[in-house]
Amino acid sequence: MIPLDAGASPAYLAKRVAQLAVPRPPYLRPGMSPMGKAAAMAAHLGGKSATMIRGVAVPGVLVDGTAAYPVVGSLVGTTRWLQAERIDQRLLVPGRGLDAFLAELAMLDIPALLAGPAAWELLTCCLLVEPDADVLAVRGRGPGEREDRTSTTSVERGRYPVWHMGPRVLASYLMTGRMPRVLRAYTWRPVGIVAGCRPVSLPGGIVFDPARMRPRSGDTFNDLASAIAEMALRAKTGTLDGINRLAMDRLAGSGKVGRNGIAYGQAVEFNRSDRTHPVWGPFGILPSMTAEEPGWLADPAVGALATAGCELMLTLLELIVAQAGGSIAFADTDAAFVLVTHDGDEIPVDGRGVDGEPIPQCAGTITFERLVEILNRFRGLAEATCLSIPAHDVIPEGEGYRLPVVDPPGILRSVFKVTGENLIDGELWTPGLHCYATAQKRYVLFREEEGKRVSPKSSAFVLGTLANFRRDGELDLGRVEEAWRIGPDLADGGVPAGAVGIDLDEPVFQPMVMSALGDWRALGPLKFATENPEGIRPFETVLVPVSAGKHRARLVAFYEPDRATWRDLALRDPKGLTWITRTADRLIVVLRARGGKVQVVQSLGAWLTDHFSNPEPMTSGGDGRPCEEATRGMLSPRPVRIAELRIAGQETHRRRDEEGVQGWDVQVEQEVFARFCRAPGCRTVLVGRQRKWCEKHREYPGSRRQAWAK
Amino acid sequence: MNEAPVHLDAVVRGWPSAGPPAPAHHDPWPDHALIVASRTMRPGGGPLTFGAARLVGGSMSPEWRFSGRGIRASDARRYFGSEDLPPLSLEDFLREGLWQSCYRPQIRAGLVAWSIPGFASSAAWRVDDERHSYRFTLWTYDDGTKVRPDFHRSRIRVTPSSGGRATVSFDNRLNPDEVDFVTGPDGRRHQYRGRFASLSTLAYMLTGEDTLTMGQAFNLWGIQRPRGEGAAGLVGELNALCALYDGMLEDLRRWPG
Repeated sequence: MIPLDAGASPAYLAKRVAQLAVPRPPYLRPGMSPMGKAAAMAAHLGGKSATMIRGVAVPGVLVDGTAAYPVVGSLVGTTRWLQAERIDQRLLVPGRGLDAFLAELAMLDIPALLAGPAAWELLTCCLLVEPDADVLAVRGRGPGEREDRTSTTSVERGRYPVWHMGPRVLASYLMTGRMPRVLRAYTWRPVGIVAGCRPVSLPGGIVFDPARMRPRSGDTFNDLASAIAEMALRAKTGTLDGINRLAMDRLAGSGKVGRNGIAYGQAVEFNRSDRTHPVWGPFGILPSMTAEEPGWLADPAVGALATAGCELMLTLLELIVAQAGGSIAFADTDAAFVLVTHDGDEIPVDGRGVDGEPIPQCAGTITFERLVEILNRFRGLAEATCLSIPAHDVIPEGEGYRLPVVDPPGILRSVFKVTGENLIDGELWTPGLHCYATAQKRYVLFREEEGKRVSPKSSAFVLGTLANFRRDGELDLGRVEEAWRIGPDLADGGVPAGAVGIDLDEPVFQPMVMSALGDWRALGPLKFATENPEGIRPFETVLVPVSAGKHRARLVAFYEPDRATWRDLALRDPKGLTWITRTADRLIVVLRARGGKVQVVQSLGAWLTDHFSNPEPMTSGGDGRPCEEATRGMLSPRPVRIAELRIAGQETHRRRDEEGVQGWDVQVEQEVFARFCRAPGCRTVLVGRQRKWCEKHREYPGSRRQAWAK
Repeated sequence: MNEAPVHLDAVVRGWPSAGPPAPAHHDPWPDHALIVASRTMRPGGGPLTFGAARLVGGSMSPEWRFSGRGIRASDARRYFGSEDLPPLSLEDFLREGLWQSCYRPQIRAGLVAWSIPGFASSAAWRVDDERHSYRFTLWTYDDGTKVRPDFHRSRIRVTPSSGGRATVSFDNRLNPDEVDFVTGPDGRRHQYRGRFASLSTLAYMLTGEDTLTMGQAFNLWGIQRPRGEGAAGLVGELNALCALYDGMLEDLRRWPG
């Protein structure tokens, strides 16, 4: 049995199986050069997340990848790299195999990719691309922005070539019809099986046997991610042997995290250590050192191919839907909301420009029957994974279709599933589901039933980080749904329809656990000490207000679950001074009443207005101007040009990006290993006080450098 | 897309060229566990007020009730009532319950609570923040003039990682006995580090849900949520935590060790 104190996440359970089955970590597997790994690491980006139709409710169907990371890993073969004896690496350059390889890539089209894994196995490569209006994923920040974001957009010719994994380069080729300009490429193929591998049993009788050649024999799999995915799939459908229903529900949850850990997360796991190590960047070894250390299963090409493969899978879906005359409202990693109507005709979209002027637009839709046909085109991929991905019949019933699970083949089997949010009683699809999306990961799905709006899924993204949406520490889904019901009206500057079920005047607070040492130290004299036994202790939960306007101080209050008391909650700053908080509309009362220190805090109504009008970054609206709060309708990505390049370490805890404890500005910045000189073609790393130019190029005439800067 | 391109300050990841550390060695989980339920002065934390503990895994299951520092004995007796066990002071419980059960070589039980860092912090007399970890002083002695930390008993070191999770161990103590030493897999002798398990961390490991509350965890294991206020609620919570601990052990047995 695994000791209770051995691990801290479901990924540990999966890692333990890997350690028992395979005697050697991927780091010790010969074949990949440090530069090859550095190229893969530089090509690693998160999944695609984009809103295509903003601020307008549209009808359709949410489809979601089934075990997307293991499925992609299984198709490209990276989930079997764990037990490979070695990796056969080739460096291709012009005149030495690159042209032939690119010609082979250019032979791939949608039918070839949907036919089975043979085409996907060609994609285990990393290519150094010189972008020129290619549709590629990039991460970074525009002028004046403080946060990095990942976007898939047209990348214009810039100062630097960038490494991209094969699936992303192929996705660009399929979207533009033009192969990007590739300067060099690494290709990788696994060879053999390392000695000492042994089979290991998972809960429910599923076996991972790394020495097997066949992907699946009975309940035995030769790749760990698929074995765990199978366990989770069967746990979800209640068909694991000898395990009760509740335990299967738990296994479905832990299996989901575990399989994603093996297929993706642990391959790009890095931890702080007490030692320092050399760092490699996209063009070679860097002069800096880092305390980051790879995890036991670190294998950057595996992780980078998982997200790149998911993006290719989504691109295939988008392209096929577009070919059928349809469109997509949003895409998120392995999910997409496809516009579906009963007749498959175009629907009007009430677009608006930055100034609120109407811009009539039309969005293509498809019928549900057509969607089923499209999803079923991914059947070959579903079958190639050997997983127990369910098959469905599609039986007309009333206005919709019943999708009972049947033994394969069935009418529909796909790597994309029609999610439960679309279905009534688990298998009946009826029209009426609408999607309203505002920005990345911010969307609500709803139906109108008997004059009431029912939300089968409201994204708690960011909302869930507020104490206002928690009751006894648990997420209050009723309040989240209510926020989504009224949010669009608030964003439009209107009055929400019907009675509002949440108090829009209450101040906004965020719960924060004082676990990080830096956070606790920042409390200053508020900290617990022998002389201050009632001070804030490590691991205590406190409330941090979301300030409106000028943020005057770091403020905390003892955790108070009763929202009714929040209006008069006393806050303290690290100097020990007491502050009062007021929302903007109550500020005048305070000013008349007394002086003292006051922090203006956002009211829930103002916060929701901001949240639901948050623009989609790096996109343009129908008026061709950058997306802003008033922009509605169909969006298109804004082209980018890579003007600067940073080489950085692991992304810090995503508090600022996603978990939003605003007003507590004790942040751990992402470690930056290097920046490069801005002169075209120069790959010199800036050192010391150099900010833009290396020693050589700073001597060039200013006019010339200004020309480069443009 | 004919608009002017956005000038992007792009970021890519660098590759630290290093081998991963060897997998950590873990001895089997001990047969005994001291399971602790406690209350704090404030809803979010603060000093410990009352607690209940049970040593499970043996033929007997001794229990303790205790009150926090600064709580008068009469208040503690009133809180627990005359029908429950007589409450100890926190230091007495730490000495009789925690130290004897979890450190001394006779039993060396694991210490189990919903959140071990939270329990250690609430029970601490002093906390030191070091480079990467907190060090909680639980044991003190009164030399007649002043209360001082008792360095003859190990302090508890808590190294936080992401998501509120942490690594917990006993620190070295002053003048250790020969029996306090154990030999690690690398052949080196060191003082016993203890065994600690936070059920909140295990709940995440076994369900994949990383923001579970205690009540939600009880639901997922089919355990009735404890009802009642005061001591009845505290003891009910202890019973439920013991059931949760058993359920988690059963789940972990399904995975290969």
